Amino acid sequence: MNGANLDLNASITQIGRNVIVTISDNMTDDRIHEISDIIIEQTHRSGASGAILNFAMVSMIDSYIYKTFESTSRALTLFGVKVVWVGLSPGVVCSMIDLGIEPDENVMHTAMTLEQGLAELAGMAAQ
Amino acid sequence: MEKRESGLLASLELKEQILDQIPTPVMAVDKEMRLLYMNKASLELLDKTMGEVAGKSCYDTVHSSHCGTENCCMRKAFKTGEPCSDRTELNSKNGKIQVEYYAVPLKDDNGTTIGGLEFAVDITAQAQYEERLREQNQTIRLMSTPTIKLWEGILVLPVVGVIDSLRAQNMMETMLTRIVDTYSKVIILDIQGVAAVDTAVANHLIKITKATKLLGCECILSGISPAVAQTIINLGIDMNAIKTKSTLSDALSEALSLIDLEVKEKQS
Repeated sequence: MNGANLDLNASITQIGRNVIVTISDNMTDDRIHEISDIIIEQTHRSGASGAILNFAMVSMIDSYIYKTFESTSRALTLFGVKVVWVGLSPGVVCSMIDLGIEPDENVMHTAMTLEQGLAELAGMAAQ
Repeated sequence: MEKRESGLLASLELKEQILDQIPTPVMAVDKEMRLLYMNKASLELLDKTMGEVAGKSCYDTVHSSHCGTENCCMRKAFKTGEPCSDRTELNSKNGKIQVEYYAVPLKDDNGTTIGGLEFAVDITAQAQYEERLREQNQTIRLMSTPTIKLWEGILVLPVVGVIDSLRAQNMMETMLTRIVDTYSKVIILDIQGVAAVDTAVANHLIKITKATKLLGCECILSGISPAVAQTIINLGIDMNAIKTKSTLSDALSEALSLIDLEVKEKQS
């Protein structure tokens, strides 16, 4: 898996029952697709209960990237995994809103930082 | 014959007098940019006499910020054969002044360019005015989004005046940056001071709420007056996506409960 991580410009780490994926900048469409597949596979295999997609390093999200990660999140919710998107920067958010993207509360939650994201997952697990 | 010549001389003198009495600088150059003529106003401006400048190149005499560069209008006018105008900064005896200058190619009877005529208008006052206007605009823009940190994790943004799309965009950017800077969990958008809420304004507000949501920050809209509430309903705007409260204090207690805090009366 680690070898794959190096190739994919993304790190997938598991801490406790949560999978944390850090997504990097400048990815090609194919890479994004591969990363998405790997996230779903890894989360399924490890039986995680929560997933965090960290976009802190991403400087731009276009409709394709959004769509791909949204479908990924949708797939993860089918396993009963709670998904939180964290680290979206103000510029990224502005461009997403301008693109008319409407995030679905049932699919993914959002938090500002990784820490808050983990707190959110813990809160959801407690409920 | 003599009479005609003196008449010609008189008319030349008259023309020169007229040119000298124009209060703005006028000058003429030949094809190589050597000065042929400068009127009184331009000589006074540069503190030179005609004898000093005659035959010298204009860029050595005038020293404007365009001189000797591709931006020089005279050069452009020579190249195109058309009049040309631009703004530049000039070193006069009283220091730097802003001028708007016009360069016109001088042509002989066959239409070939043999030189150029240039005249300038002092726009220092106008330039200062424009500069001041820009500064004021900047100040107003800064003042229009005063995000106040009300509590650890709670921001308040009072909105006053009219929301147009430029301002909404500006508000959104400032808000998002402030939210990230302060790690706020809740932002209260107070629209008490907004004169009217129409579909466009409501749309902007909904967009802002969605944007803050993406940062994991809850947005509460407060200060909705009965009139505004009525317009929103009559326009059929769906505000379900936004948490709304009538007053700022209501919004504050909601915000406090969102970050698991409560206000209690002191036990004495």
